[in-house]
Amino acid sequence: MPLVTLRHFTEDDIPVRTALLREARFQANLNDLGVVTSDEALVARQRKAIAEEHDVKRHFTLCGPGGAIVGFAWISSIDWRSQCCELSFGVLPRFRGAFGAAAVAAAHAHIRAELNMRVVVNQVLEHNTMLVSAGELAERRAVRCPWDSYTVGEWRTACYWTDSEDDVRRRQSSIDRRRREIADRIRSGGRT
Amino acid sequence: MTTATPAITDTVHETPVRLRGYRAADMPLLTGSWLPGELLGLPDPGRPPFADLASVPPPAADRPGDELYVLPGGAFVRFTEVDWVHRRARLETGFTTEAAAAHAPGLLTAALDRARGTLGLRRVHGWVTPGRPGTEEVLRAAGLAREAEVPHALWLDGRPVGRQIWGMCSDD
Amino acid sequence: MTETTTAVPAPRAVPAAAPTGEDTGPAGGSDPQTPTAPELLTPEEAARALTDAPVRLTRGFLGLDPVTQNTALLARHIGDREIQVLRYGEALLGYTVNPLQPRQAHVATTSADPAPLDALLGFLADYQRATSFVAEVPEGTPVLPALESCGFTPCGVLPGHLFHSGRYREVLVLHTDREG
Repeated sequence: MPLVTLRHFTEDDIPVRTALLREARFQANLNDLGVVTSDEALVARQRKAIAEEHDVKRHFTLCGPGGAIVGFAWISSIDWRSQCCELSFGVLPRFRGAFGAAAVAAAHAHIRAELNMRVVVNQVLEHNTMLVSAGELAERRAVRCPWDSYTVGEWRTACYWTDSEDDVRRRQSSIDRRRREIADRIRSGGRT
Repeated sequence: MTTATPAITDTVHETPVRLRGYRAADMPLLTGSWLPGELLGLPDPGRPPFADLASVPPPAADRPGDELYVLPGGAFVRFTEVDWVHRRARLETGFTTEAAAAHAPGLLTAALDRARGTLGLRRVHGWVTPGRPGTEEVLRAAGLAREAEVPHALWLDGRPVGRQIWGMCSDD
Repeated sequence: MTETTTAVPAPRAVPAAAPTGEDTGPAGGSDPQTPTAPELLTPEEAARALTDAPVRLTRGFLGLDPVTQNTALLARHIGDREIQVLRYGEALLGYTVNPLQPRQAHVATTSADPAPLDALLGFLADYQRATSFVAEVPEGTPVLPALESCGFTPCGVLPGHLFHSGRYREVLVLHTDREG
């Protein structure tokens, strides 16, 4: 049973996501649209996405064990012909440490296995080390774009890179390998 | 099919068929005496005068999925039931005159190239009503294969007739 | 099958094609094993029901896919394609009439038990004068036994017609006749 599962975003989820859109770190790290938009407009935008905008964006709700909401993922800039899209995440503050990596993996898995996406574009603002460390960002980025966004009073630099299925698989193998090495070290250290 | 239907002649074309996007002036191409939804919609001179003509709708804002192309003055090519997740579409064509029908092999090739090369589709399929001599050779030459035979799928000349599904899949 | 939500409007019963001569109680009556009337669902109710049912039974149901289509998109497709969805006990049944041959219907079921599908075919024969039935199902579908028990025989395979769970899959095309 995976740690995080993914389902369609529904109208019942809107209040939780709206609160996340207005949370301080979300605003700094993704966008501060939630500050300058009224409640009604924020709800209306999300309702429209659920009801109509399937060709241009898709929203998902990420759930932990037991079905509790741990965050949201959404794809945008969908190029169906090229099987390419941009993937974004917002994890609820209380779940950020524990579920971040699993949430990312669940979203990637779904859009590849079920929506037949082959290339995922990632955009992460350089100061945002919630899901990717600064070192990894520097290593992975293909494009670095200063003055990319303005959130909460500051200009932000954005890092962009793409992930193909091979990239995800290679990264997962290296994570698994590191985990095994750590486990082996612990086991052999424990015997002394 | 009526007995008067002419066979498709296997003509060799010096120049490849060029498709272009549909424009409003091409509207007359969308209605004709071919069988509705047919993959190779050749004109049927034996159609009774009171039989409804077949027709496909022009592009519209509420039907964003369809892709419609024309061979100017001669025929249309329509990709409908486009599904981007499954990367497939149903192909139907319609030729307004017998002269246009002579371009059928070239048009089919151009249509499939468009599906693969421009639309990035992996699979194309369509309905074929058996009975016209030469059809199978044209379809096979274009890379299509017969995949299913569905009995009673079309009401024609007073009775239900069987129809075939032909299709192709590209390797990724 | 999960319980329906409490928000659905009252069901509209259609004339029953009951397998035996049971009393005609209300739909979803006391014995869930032998329902007496199939219940026609609105597109929204059908979308919700398909979403709540196990995905292995609903993926490919008359070309729909609750995994990639949320309830709004399912309801839209159901309306646009004039798909009728009925609840019959634990099963969901669906049909759409072939616009080029009104005596032919494409059908679908979410049950491996042939009884609901048999009831649907009987209903369509009696009330729509349908004589010919087509089903298209993903390879490996659990409902194939129901189709075979109702007399469906294979008439083709559509290769690579679906992309589910990471790979392209075949669709089986099956057909049966019932004389009206």
